[in-house]
Amino acid sequence: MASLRLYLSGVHSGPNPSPGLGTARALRERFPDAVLIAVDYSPRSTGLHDPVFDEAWIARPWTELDLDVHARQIRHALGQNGLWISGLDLETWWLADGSRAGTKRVLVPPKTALRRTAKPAIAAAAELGHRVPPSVSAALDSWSLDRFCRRGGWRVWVKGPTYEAHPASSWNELELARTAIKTTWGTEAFVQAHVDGTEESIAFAAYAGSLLAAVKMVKLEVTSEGKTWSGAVSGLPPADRSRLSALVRRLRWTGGGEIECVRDRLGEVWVIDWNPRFPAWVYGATSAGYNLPGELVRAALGLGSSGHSAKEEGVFVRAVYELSTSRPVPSLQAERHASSGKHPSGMPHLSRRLSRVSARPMRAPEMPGVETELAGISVRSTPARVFLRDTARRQFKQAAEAVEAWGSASGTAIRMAFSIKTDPDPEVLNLARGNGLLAEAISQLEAAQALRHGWAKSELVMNGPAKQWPTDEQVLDPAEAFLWFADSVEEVVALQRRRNGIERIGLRLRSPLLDSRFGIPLSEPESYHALVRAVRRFGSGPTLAIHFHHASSVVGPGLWRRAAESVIAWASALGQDTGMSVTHLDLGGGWFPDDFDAVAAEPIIGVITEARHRFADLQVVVLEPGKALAQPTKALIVSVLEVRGGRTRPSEVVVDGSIAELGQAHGYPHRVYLETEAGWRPLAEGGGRILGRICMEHDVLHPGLAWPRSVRAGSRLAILDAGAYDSSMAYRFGLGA
Amino acid sequence: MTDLADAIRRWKDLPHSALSSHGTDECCRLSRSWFRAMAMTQPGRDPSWVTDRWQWGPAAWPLYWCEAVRQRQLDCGALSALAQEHLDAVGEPSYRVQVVLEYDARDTEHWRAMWLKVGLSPWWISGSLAYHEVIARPSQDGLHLWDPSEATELRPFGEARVRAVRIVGEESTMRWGAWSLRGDEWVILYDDGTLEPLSSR
Repeated sequence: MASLRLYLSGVHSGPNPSPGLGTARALRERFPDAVLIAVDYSPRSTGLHDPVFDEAWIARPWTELDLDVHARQIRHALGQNGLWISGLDLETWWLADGSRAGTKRVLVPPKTALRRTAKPAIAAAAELGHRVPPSVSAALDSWSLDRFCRRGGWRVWVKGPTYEAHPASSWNELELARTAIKTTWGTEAFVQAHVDGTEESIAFAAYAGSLLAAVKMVKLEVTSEGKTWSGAVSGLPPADRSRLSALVRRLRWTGGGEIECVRDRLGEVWVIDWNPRFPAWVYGATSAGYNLPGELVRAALGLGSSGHSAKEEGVFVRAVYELSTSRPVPSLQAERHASSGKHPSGMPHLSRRLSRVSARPMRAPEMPGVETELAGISVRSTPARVFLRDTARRQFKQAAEAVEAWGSASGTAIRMAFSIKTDPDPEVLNLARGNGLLAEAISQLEAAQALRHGWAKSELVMNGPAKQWPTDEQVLDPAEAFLWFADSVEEVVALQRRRNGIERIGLRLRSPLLDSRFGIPLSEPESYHALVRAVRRFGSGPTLAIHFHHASSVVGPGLWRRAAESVIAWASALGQDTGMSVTHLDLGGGWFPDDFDAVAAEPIIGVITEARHRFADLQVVVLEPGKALAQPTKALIVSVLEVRGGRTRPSEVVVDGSIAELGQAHGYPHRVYLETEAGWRPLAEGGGRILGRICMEHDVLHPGLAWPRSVRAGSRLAILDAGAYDSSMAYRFGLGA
Repeated sequence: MTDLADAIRRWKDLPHSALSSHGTDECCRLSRSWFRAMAMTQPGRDPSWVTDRWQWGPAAWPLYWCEAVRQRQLDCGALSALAQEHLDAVGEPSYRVQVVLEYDARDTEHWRAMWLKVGLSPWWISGSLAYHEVIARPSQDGLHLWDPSEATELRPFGEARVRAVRIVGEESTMRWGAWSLRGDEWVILYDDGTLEPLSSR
């Protein structure tokens, strides 16, 4: 009788290993006489040299393989005695296509099952009673993508549909990661919310829809890439096994599988990946008594379950050791394989062959009504920043209405303060003053500016580490301001010495939850004690005003709320330890305009409600929606100097504007309009950049737009969302003076 | 087993460790206030910040609140006291737990030297046995013993073997894994998983 021949593809054993080697070791234990053949697509795959294998099949790289010929060779090799267990996700997808290997001897799931378990949706996860973290396509327009990440607190993963994942904590990092994945794999990435918790996996073997064995593995050690290095393996709890069994039956699954999960602090399980193959740690499960590959091959041979009993729990570790090689290994300089060092199985090549990325332009992010407003603005020369008066009025009006509603909902007097540094443009300041906002200043110069615009001294909120700078131009005394927030214990002591009738002791507190250079630190007992002592020196009479500030556009509304609530807890402790009442609360926020309109209500009302619960004498809450108000109020008008890539397919344009006028170009996406014969029109996103005029590598004003053929030298663009810090932090550069 | 019996005899009447306060002085009151505000600030109200902030090591007793929060190193009794204070601040019930653990004797030799080098008595070590304090957190499936010295769950057959345990509490029975334990009673845990109350020996 001919020997059983087991072909195991994907045998690389590096820091991010494929499962072939572990699968082979498991099968060797169950089928000592079988011929084990290692299959891979590069001689750089290290597992090829392991003595567990009897033979090796190093196929040509995927760039050279004729897929039909390869399928025929696999069919021929398997014959009547062979079985193929793929350890490569994309090879599995390719083999699952019925027209490929065309034999039941290839132990992979049907394509329908692969689709039900594919990222990012992993539709089948719901049938296990688990959720999948929210995600969006990275091909979404920048405006929508930024919104998704911002509201998730910029804790996201940029993932390829089959391989690779990068954490991203800013717009710039996201841009780099999605470009890297698209370049390597030829596919669009997706962006998924991060879930904090313990990583665990379920691995299973199934044949023709029948669940043969399943284990759970909790990661104990991981590599810097997050790959398993040690894990605790145990049997799947009966209820979980029952659900998995029913699902596998519905999916008609054949082969190995791994469901990667995160268990959060509340015990909820989130599915983050579903691999259509055994995990690389499959021999770790075998050593604990769960031989998943063995069960799979027994079922494929019609032998039924082995009935081997497993230990209740086993722990495995990985170790590194050297093997003498059984065949030549290419040098590092060998060009032919140089690109496959990181992916010796050549999956990027196969991915690019199988993927079909559409080049259609994405949706154009729009600002309703701005076409009309732009049409009414005359610009003589560019670059020019223009004030969008109607938009600005609408922003301030909407914010005032929202704040009034929040005040009613929380039963609290709420005032808005406009941060002068955000945009000291007289037009913006006049709107702020006209709408009844307080003014927030960080220096005597800004205080003087506020006074010139009609604010009274008692309408000023002073913040920051240098409120009395310049020291020779004092226009405001701490006792005259509506609120004056000390940024350090030293400043509290100094205020107490000059006291002059201060009614409210303003304190900016630094939440231990967030890194910041601002505010009074609380994470050491000494600093808290020093603060209590300094505040007590004011004696009875003054009340406390507490300031918290952190940009929600950076940390997300969720963390913003938790940090604000933590500051309220500290203020409560401070009130008790000093015997003073907290009467004023100032919540700075760095809200992105869309977020202030759409999602700020819940965290802000929640924080104010908590404050009212804690502070019986709370009188006023101040909100500071600076950039939420000012950012959309201006556009940067630029002219196209040069169109590159030809008239039929313009690829990128050079304009007369630069990052000197648009300093936040890499901080958040900007919406762009093109002036056409029919008026101003929003530009959809695509692959064409806007390059700035100055000779700096990062002077790129937009990473990708779909340029219409009508764009030409002299065309004008309006780059929206260019108010606030784009405006206040603009500088002169490359202008010859 | 004689060693264990001897060791437990020495430790069985020890109260669990408790931080002291300097009477009417505010130093300890403010320190405790600071600690409870820090507790309220932790993500998920998780007590593991106690382990992150204070490394396990020798501590001199009596230990006052104002001293404990300023130190960088605390022993298991102080860490358990802080962990319980944290849970109290965030409104979660917990119990103090005293255990006798068995280690490799080479390990306890190091710890004995650590304590002696700073002039403290290694009274809590007896051969390969060590007196230790953790906390218990009730849940739907019984008590979970959480070790604030290592920010990990204490399991009966983990890296160190639990030889004896006492849950400090008034409840008549509390479940820990497969066992039912009476509050305030030392029980010996055998290799085969059976328990024996110390009082019955």
